[in-house]
Amino acid sequence: MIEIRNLSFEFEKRKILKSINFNIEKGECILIAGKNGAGKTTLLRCLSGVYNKHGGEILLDGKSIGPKDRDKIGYLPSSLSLYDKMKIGEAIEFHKRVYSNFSLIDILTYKLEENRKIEELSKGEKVLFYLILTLSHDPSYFFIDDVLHFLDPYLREIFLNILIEKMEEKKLSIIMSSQTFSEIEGLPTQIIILDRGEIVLNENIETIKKTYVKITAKEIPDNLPVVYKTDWDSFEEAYVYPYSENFSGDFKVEFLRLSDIIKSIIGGNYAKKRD
Amino acid sequence: MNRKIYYFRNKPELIIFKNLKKYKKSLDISVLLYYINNTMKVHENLRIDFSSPVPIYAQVKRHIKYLILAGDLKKGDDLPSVRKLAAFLRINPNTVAKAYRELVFEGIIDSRPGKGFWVKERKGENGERKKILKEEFEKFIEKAIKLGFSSEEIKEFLENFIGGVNDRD
Amino acid sequence: MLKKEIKDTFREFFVILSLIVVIILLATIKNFDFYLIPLLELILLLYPTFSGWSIFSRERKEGGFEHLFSLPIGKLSILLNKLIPRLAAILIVLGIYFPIREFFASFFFFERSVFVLLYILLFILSFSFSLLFTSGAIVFVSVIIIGAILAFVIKMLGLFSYNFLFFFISIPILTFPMVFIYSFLKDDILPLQFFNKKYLTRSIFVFFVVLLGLSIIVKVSGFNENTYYLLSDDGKIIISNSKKTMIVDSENNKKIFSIKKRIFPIIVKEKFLYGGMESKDGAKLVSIDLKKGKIKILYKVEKYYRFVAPHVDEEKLTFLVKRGGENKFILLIKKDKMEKINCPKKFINEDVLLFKLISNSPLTFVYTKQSYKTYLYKEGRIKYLFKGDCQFYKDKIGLCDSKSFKVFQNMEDSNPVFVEEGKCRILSRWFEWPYERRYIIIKAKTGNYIFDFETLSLSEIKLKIKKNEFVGTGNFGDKLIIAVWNNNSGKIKVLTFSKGEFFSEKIYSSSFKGRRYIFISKKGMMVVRWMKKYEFIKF
Repeated sequence: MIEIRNLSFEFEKRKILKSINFNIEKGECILIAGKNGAGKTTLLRCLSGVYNKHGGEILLDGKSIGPKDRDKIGYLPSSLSLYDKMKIGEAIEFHKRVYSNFSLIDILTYKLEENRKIEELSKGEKVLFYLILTLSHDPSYFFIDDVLHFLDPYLREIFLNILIEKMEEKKLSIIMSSQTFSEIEGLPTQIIILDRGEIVLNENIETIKKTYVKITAKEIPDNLPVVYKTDWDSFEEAYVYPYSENFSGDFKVEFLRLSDIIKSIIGGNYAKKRD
Repeated sequence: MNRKIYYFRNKPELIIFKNLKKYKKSLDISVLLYYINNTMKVHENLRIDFSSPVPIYAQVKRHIKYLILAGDLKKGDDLPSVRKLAAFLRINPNTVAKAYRELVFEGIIDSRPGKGFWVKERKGENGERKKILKEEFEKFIEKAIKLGFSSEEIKEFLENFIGGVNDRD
Repeated sequence: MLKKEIKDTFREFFVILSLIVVIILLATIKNFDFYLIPLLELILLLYPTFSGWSIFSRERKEGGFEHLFSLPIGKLSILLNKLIPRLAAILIVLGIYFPIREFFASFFFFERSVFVLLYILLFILSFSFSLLFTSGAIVFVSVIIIGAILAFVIKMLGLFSYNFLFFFISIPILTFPMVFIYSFLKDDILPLQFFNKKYLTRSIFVFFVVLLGLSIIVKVSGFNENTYYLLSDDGKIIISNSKKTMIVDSENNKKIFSIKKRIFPIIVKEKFLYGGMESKDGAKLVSIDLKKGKIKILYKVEKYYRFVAPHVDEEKLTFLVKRGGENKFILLIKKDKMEKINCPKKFINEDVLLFKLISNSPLTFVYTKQSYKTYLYKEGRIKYLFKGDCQFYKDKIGLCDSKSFKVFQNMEDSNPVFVEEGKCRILSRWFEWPYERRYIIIKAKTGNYIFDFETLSLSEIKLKIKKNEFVGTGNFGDKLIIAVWNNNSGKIKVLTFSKGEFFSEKIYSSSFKGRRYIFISKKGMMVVRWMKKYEFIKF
């Protein structure tokens, strides 16, 4: 289990993360969403040890995380930072020396050409190679920054299949940040939404699917917990959270897909900022 | 009569299935998923509705029950492995595992160590079937009422429709 | 990790190695060897600069920082993994360079120790700046500029002794890598801009604090405030510090007179003290009457000029006048007459220890510090004589290396008048060199001997001199005094000879232990400890 306690990060006196608290248990998959600049990448960098100078604590099984513990952590950064001039074979060799239990996982769909240089790979191939490389040191925790958008539909399919296979095989715990949700909607068990460095929502996926709804009515009742409201000429539309069956009134309730939920929460925050 | 519906997500990949033996070594789950193996008789209905408030594991459970009741999965048939089903549906493998676990608990399926899950029993013959039918009818009638049909008209329509189905057989 | 770094290092190492080989080949093909070493020196100084800068160049170019810091390696070991192979490589190159230099040596910019220090300093500086600027070119240029300034100060100004200058410059410069390592371990590197700002302010702050602290320490402790001592043959002690110059009679320990000026004592000759006096407009050569205390300015040079390598014989006094690292001319003082002789071109860049003009003849002996070689210079022609110790007496020269001891008279025919074969060494002290000495002591394989230049005779003395013992001598007319001391004990053994015959042996004890210089006069000896304290022991 990784516990994140009071995590904060400052960059040039600008607070990028403010007092982040959450846990990730074994086998869980957390989706981190938020608009650009909300601090998703910074959070993942703190977790994977790229940033060390943060406030608060990151505990792995109750102990503060150190360089050696990164053996158990895989990190797939959106910068796809690898040595570009290295050949694929050299990069594998390099990782073999650095990680204590590295053994290249067997991926039949994607053939690694050892003599190709990393800079010759397309972005999508690079993501896939990085995924294979990172999964090969047998991490228990896997952090994925927003990389899905680099992949074309075919490679995206392979990427997700490898990920799901390893999730099942190794009981991976995953924290992933993404801007596209339709393809990965079935994966997360928990969703965290960040806004300006703070957690605005941290909820179990089943709960949020049940309690986050869109309500359409001539006039939205005032007593509803409205997140975001749109006023059309003849009727009003509101995203309501948390919704409960007890709410009554003359309105139509619609349950939502994850992308709509996230979109409306982020939109609601934008609207709040405007006010 | 079992209707086998093969799911091909990407048409060009069909070429691969034609030469399956030739390519077998380079295949893994991602490609294998286009080719639905004999044990995995996936019905159209086995689709996850992500906009539903019903949890995914519950949806998976319901679908498997439906497949069993519809006869697509017979007693003794193997169920797809957790990994394969999760990858096919693009859902968290833990969710599939949870659905399977509950089905085992309900006594509908069972697991063989090292060999996966298989259909144990066609259980809840009446109750379950009625429940599914009821749900479908609720949706149908709601829509019919909205369209302004009276209860008489609906009855008539249903009788005619059932007659039509019998004729076809 | 280490393997990758070694690979990266080897690539650079290979380039520099092949460059060295190409230059050497060029030297053998064409007559190029005069320019070889200076060229190699410049190229070799670029190598540590490049190597230091390149520690993170790949991460920067190929965008690997995020990957690097997510590896299960601590930051300290990342740094060590990167630094150690490169440090090893630059040291290997240094090891290769010195034999080449020895082989081809004809002319070079830097002395060995200066070169090594500059070489290492450039490496340290360039890795300290490696993350500071986005462009390697800027790092390169800035380090080269700093290096050039360092080299210029060392080479051209030459005001301080090398050791002191390096101490003073190196310590504040060493704060750069310290702050770099601290910042590297502490701060997050990924937002480089941010790291740079913090690192830059931090290192500039620390640099100036250390510089200021060091200056204060040096000023307060008087670290560089050396007191210079000199003892005249008749027992007058000359003490000179930054405030005043004092003459003390050793007989009764009474002050004879003092001058409120700093005079660097060079030589005492016939009741006159010759010394250098520094002033804002340049150095002056002065003579002080040891009885009356009258100062007479003999010669004045412009700023940055110095008087070095003094030599006295019966009729004249010579100095070499130096500016920065260059020898400009020879100053000859003969009964209040002064003459300026141009320094032979060959010796302009040599660090000359001894320069003797035999009478007014153009015959000149040079004994240099760089190569410990003795040259004979005549009518514009230079002849290499000998590598080893040398000693003058009137028109004779004694040369001694590890195998033989030879004495030449009338250098024109270059036939030695005296030869002793065997393992030899002249037991002499550097501060006695300005004097012409009639006797010298030679340590040979078969025993210890005294050689008398007047009679050209060698006689054995029953004197045991251990490896860590030092010998000082003084000759006053027919009298010879030999002092033998060990730096570990306070005991000093003094032997007196008169007219070549053994006269007496006595053991004196000094309250000083450790590194000491001993000056000998007729009446007693002065023990000086580390340019700070002195003690006079009467015979």
